[in-house]
Formats: sequence, C-alpha cells, structure tokens
Amino acid sequence: MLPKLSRYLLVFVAIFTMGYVLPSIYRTFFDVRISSPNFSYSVLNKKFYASKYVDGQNRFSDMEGNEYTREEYMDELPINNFYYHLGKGTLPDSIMGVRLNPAQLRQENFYQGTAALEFSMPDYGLNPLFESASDFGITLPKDVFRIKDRMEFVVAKTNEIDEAKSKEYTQALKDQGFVFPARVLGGIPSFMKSRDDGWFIQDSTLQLFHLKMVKGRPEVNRVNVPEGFKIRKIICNDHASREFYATIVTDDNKLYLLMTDNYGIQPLPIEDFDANRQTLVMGGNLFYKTVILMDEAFTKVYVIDRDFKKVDELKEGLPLKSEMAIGKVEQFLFPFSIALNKSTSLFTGIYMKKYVSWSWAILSVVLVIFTLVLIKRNNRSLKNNILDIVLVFFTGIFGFIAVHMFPNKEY
Amino acid sequence: MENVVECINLTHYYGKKMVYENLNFNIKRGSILGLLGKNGAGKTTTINIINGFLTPKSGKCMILGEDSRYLSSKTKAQIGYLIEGHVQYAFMNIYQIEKFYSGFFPNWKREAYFDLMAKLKVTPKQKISTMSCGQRSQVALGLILAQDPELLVLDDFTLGLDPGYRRLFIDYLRDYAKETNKTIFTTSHIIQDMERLIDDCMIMDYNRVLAYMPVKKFLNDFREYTIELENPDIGVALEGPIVNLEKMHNKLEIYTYAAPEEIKGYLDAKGLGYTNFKEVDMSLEDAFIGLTGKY
Amino acid sequence: MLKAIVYKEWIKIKRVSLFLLLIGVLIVIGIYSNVRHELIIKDAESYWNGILQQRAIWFYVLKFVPLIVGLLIAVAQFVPEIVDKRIKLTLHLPTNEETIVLKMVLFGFFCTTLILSVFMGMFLGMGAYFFPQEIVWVSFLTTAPWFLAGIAAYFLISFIVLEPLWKQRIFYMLFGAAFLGTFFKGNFPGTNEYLLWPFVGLIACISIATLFSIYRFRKGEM
Repeated sequence: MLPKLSRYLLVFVAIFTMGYVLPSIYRTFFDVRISSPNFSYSVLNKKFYASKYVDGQNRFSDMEGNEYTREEYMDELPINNFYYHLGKGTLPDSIMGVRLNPAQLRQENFYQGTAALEFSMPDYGLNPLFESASDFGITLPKDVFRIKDRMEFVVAKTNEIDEAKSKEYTQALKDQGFVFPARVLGGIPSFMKSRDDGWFIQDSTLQLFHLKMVKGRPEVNRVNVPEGFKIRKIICNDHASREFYATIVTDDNKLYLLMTDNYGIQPLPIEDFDANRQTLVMGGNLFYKTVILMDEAFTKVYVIDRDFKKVDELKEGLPLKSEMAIGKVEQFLFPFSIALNKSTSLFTGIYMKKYVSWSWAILSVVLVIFTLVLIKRNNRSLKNNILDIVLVFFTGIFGFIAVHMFPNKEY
Repeated sequence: MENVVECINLTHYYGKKMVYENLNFNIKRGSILGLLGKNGAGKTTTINIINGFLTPKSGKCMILGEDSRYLSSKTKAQIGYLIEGHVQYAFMNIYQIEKFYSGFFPNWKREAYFDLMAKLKVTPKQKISTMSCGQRSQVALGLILAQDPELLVLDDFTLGLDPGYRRLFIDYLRDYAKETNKTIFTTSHIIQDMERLIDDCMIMDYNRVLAYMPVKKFLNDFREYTIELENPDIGVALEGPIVNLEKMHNKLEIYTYAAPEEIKGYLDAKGLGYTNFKEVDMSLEDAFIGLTGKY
Repeated sequence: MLKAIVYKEWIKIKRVSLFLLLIGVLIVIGIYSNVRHELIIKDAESYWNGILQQRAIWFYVLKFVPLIVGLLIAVAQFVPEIVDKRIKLTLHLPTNEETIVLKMVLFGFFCTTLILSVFMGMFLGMGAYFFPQEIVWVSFLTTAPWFLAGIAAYFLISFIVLEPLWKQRIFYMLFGAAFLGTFFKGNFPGTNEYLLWPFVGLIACISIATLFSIYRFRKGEM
C-alpha cells in the first residue's frame, strides 16, 4: 500500500515539475516578441498617433492607417517632441493661442510609470526620512524608520533605536490625530531625486498625513480625504511642475492626484484601471495629461485636459499569443502550464495556467491509447492502471512521462 | 520430519530468458541441501526468491510455513542469510557490527560470535572492509551463529576463500548444524569439499535440474567409465543410459547411472568396437563436472 | 531496534555530517565577517540602503550550501547500502522492510534538518546583531527555499541511490535536477513568502519516495 502511495506522490511531483519545465523549454525555443506601440496625442490635430517597433525600425502612423516619416511624425506632435524641435529650432511659437516658452514646456513635461508588480512585491517596511530643507542636496539619513504601534528610527551604525527621535516623531504624529499603526506609506526612498517631499502616510482610521523632516524637526500636516478612502498605493513624484505630490490608487482601483495646492484630492476620469494586471503610465505636458493602461490584451489611452476632463480616449488590442501559431501549438501540447514567476507580481507562487481551448485533449487521447497498448503488451491488468490512464488523459504529456518514468509494474 | 523449505513449481524468467520452469524441492529440518551449478545457472535467483527479494513469475516458496514473498519478522529472525561474497556492513568493525545486529535479535548469542572472532587476527578498530576474504567470511559466519536461526541460507559462501578457510568454514558449519539440528540451504559453483557438508544435492544447469538426490546416493550411483574406441571417427550419441560424454581422440568418458554390465551391454548392442573398459572413481567435483560438462 | 538503526546510520554519516556542519558554520561566520567589514569601511546607512532600496543580497554564498548538505548526507548514508547490494542485509532484518527504511530515512532527515537548523539559526541570529528584524525576516524568506531544497535533495538523492536500475536512476536524476531547480527560481529578496508551504507540501510528497525504490528492489529489479 505505502509503496503504491509513494509512487503516486512521485507521479504527482513529476507532473508538477513537467508542467513547469516542459512549457518553459518550449517557450525558450519558440517564443515571439510582441511589442506594443507607443501612442501619442497631438495637440495640433486632436488625434492619436502611433510609433511602433517593427523588424528593427520604428514605424509611424495614425489611427486611420496613414504612414508617416519620422520628420512628419515629429511635426504632427510638436509638444510631445519639443526637445527635438528645440534642437532643430522648429518649435512653433504658439499653439491653441498659447505662447510656447521652452522653460515652461520643460517644467510642465513629465512621465511616470508603475508596473502591476509594484503593487505586489515584498517590502521591508523600513524607509529613510530625508531632510526636506537641506542646504547641501539630498543625503542619506543615518537611520531608517518603521511605523508600527509607534514611529521608530533605527540607527544603521549601531542597529539600535534612536529613542529620543522616535518619541519626538511619534508625538508629532499623535498631536495631529494619527492613530497607529499605518496602513499605507508613500514616498520616494531614494536620494536620487530633485527634492524631498517626505512621506504620505495613511493611518489605521483612513486619515492621511504628510510627514516631513524640516531642519531635523518633524512637520506633520493632515490631508482631508473623502470618507472611506482606502488607499492601496501612493505613487510620489518629483516632477518639476510641482502640480501634484502623488498619484493615489485606491483599493477599488480608482485614480486620484494628490495636489500640491492645499492637498486637494483630484479624481481622474478613469474607470477601468486594474492595478493587479495593468501597467499604469502617465505623461503630461503644458496642455494635456495622458493616462495609459497596458496589459497583455490591449493598451488604453486617456487624454485629460488641465481641468481633469477627459477629452479623448483610444483602445487598441494587441496580438494575443494564444491566437498565434506558438500559442495554438502550446495549447495542443500542454493541457496546462505552471509558472513560478509572473509578470504582474514579484512574489513567486504556483501560477497555473489552464488553457481555454480543448485542443490538448487530442494529444491526451493519443497518449491514453499509447498507454493502453503498453499495458496490454506488458500483460498488466487494466484495473491496476485506471488511475494512471485518468492521469494521462487530464495531464497529457506531463502525466504520460510521469506514469512511465515511475513504472507501475505488477509482480 | 517436517520441511523447513518447500518450493513448489517455481518458474522464473528474466525478460524472455528462462531461468527455470516448475522447479520443486524441499528441505527437511536438520538436513543440508546444496544447490550446485555453474555461474549463471540460477543459484542466486533461487536464494533471492527464498529470501523474498524476488517474486517468481509463478510458483511459490514456503519458508517455515510462510510464503517467501511475505515473510514475517519472526520468520526472518529464523533465517540466517549469508550473501554471496560474505557481504556485510564493511564500514563497521567487528564490535560495531555485533552491537548493531544484537539490537534486532532477542536471542542473540554474543559468545558464539566472539568465540569465533577471538580466532581472527584483527585489531579491535579494524574495519571489515580492510579484512581478508577469509576473515570476512568468519565475521559473516559468526554473525549467523550468534543469530542462531533455524534455517541458514548461504549464497556461494566458498567464493574467494582459500582452501584452508574453505575447509574451516565447512567443518565448523557442519558440526554446528548437526549438533543443533539446523537446516541449511547453500549454493556453490565450487564443488570441492562440498561433500563434507551437504546431505542432499541438487545440480542445476541452465534452465533445468540435472540431478536432485542425497549426495551419497549420487556419488554411489553416478559413474564414469572410460573406453578406447577402435575407430575414433565413430560418434556416440547422448541417449539410452548415457547421461554425458566427453570424447578426446579415441578416448571416451561415459557418465551414467548404469552398472558396468548394463553399459557394456548397451555399447555392444550399438555395435561399437572398444577396448580398455575401466570404471573411474569420482569425487563430487568430478561427478559434477561429469554431469554438467566442462563447458 | 531504533537504537541499533540510529547506531549504524550514524556510523555512516558521522564524518560527513560533522564536516558539513563545520563548513557551514564557517560559511555563516564568513558571511557576517564580511558584513561587519563592509559596515566599517562603508557608511552603515548606505550599506543598509543597498539592502533596503537596491534589494542587495549579502548571502549569495549560502545559496547551494543546504543543497550540498542534503546531497552528501544522502550519498553517505545510502551508497554504502547499495554497494554489493548490502541493502539485502537491511531488508533481511527481522522487522518490517518499509518501517526500517523509513526509520533510516527519518534519521537522515533528522540529521540534515538539524545541521540546516544550526546554519539557519546562526545565520538569523548573527543577522539580528547587524540588522533590524525586518531585514532578518526577509533574509529568512529569501533563504528558506534554499534550506528546503537541502531537505528535498536529501529525500530525492536517497530515493535515487536506492533505485536498483541505472537506466531509471538517470531519468530520476534529470527529474530531480528539474524539481530542485524550482527552489531557486525566486531571486528577489522576500519573494518566496507564499511558496514556502507549497514547497513543504512537495517535500512531503517525496519524503516516502525511498519506499518505491525498496519495493522495486524487493520485487527483483536488480
């Protein structure tokens, strides 16, 4: 009995291993690159243009399918490519009645991207609190902080808690009504930034606070947020325009900007963001902001004006691997595949992909017949091998290899 | 007398190659059966079946009343097993190995083992792997004596032993078995001295049994005659009473169970002209070679 | 009887266990001697910053140590059993064949786990001297699959060594290598938090694999 059990357990582990190894070998040999186009919105023509990397070079077009040379494309999108025009001296003087000033263009231009895996990654929960009013640029503090039932600073050199500083900052937070522990923290933990705006911290009662260290002292401000404002992530920036501190993603996948002006909470008119799957890209210039949501299936672009009203949107599908030859063959070969990593999370796990198509069943039936022939040829009883046959049918090539690698001999 | 071992219709194949078909034999309590055969005749296969290390294609072996495929611990304790080449846990020394085995056998006879070890010239810390083949055979034997089993199963224990140790081993074993009424099943491909040990012999060739009878009867009944043929070109067939033949020029060795008169009559009836009819005395080894052939 | 089994198994693996224990302890001490040195010659806060922001790993040298421990202990324990088919002696002992093999494996598993626990304990304990608990915890999550790989390797190698046929053994080695590879897929600190229990489950599945080898041996696959 036990030896039989041990065999089935081995078969199970082998199916798991094959389910992981064989598809990854297959993809290593046959994978294809799918490059998603870059979409830009022209202030001049109020329409979208695409640049796409095909066969080693960039192709430019609009949504009607008209092709453009690089120069034409640049001319259609003068604001998006103002650096190019500044270099060539071809920047228009004004657009839409607005005078173009290079310094202002530069200041209002920004770009930020957040991949889905940044929403799902291991976190130490230890961060530096930089001096926000430094006279000598931004330097690493001697300590890092954690926020649990209080705010604590751990000094790197000694690995000990700086009690005085911890008490001072804990008290400063409490004085503003902060209720420990913290739910979410947002800030830029790197010293490679143009300025420091400290940390935005949501407490356990969903209140939002802004904490900075100014001349070594704590400075805490409360931010008024709507009722039940459950923040999932606070994406801070150091954009030159200083228009907003951060982009806020809530638990229900809504997007907000945390404005610099009076800590206003500005909702963005975007309804179908999914932080678990999509990469969020935002860009901005003097006239518009674009919000781009990207996943395997499509790219969606929203264009928003300076009053945060949606002015245009675009949804473009991408070629799906499951509909290409590589994907079809894969679905024929494997009834499922197992991965330990995925593109939308930095956590490993057993990520099982079950294909929608039933084409794998053809191969399974062939393998079942083959197994039956082998059983017959070795004079083994069908009764003892029913489970093996069921396994071969449902796990296809994985099960076929596994049950024969661990022979179910009768003695 | 009861049978300690009963093998009934044993049939085994390795793949398509037959080892034997319908092999039957019994070993009575207190008797010693020697399974003699050339290398590859199926001796170790039989030992493996008896010890439950091999499931035969068909047939079965009953050991002390139990099917060899499902031996209970109690029965295994009653079987002393010596692996071909006196294989033991060679990474231990003689004290360690005794300590190990004693933990498994409630009736462990420590003195029996150390009596035998006292005769060996080994240092206390010497690992078994560094001992000579003869010394290792004594360790293996000592362990079996201490185990004090009902049945001893010895796989080709003479392998690698020099004549002195072989004699020592055999005599020690025989005395022990007869004094304590032990049953022994042994195999060997070296026949020399085996008649000192075994009561019954079973001589096996590739895939068949050539003889199975008490060794005394075999030595008594199995005979060799030599003749010189008048015409060396005449062929003599393996038929009638003739069990085996060896021919060198005009000299013919005839192996048979027949009495001299009978064989003479047979040769005459065949019309063979011969001279110099002699009966040759044979040891068990000679008889074995006579029966199985030199090749 | 268990005492006798432990006695024999310990004779086989004593040397290699103590040797591996020593090597592992030296490696952990080496890791933290290096950390101490780095903390002295660099600013401590920038070393910490490397860990916290750049996700630096200061203990890569540890990666395959548990694997080697499991592998060598299994080899030391079971190769002497298959030399000259000595396993026949073990299976002939007056006790249930499955029970005795499981007890042998259990003892080897115990020794492997003990050695690995010493490494892990030292690694985390010394880590706690230099780093706050958050860093120690993440370093645990990062190294845990490597340690589990050591235990998996012990079970797998035991099973492969006891497998009676070479042809089969080669298939099992390929399978074993692929399976053990899964324990080393996460290269980001703390990434394996949710995979530890599945790994434990998979290890449980292979923990009695030796019974399959022994069963084949006893049925005459030689």
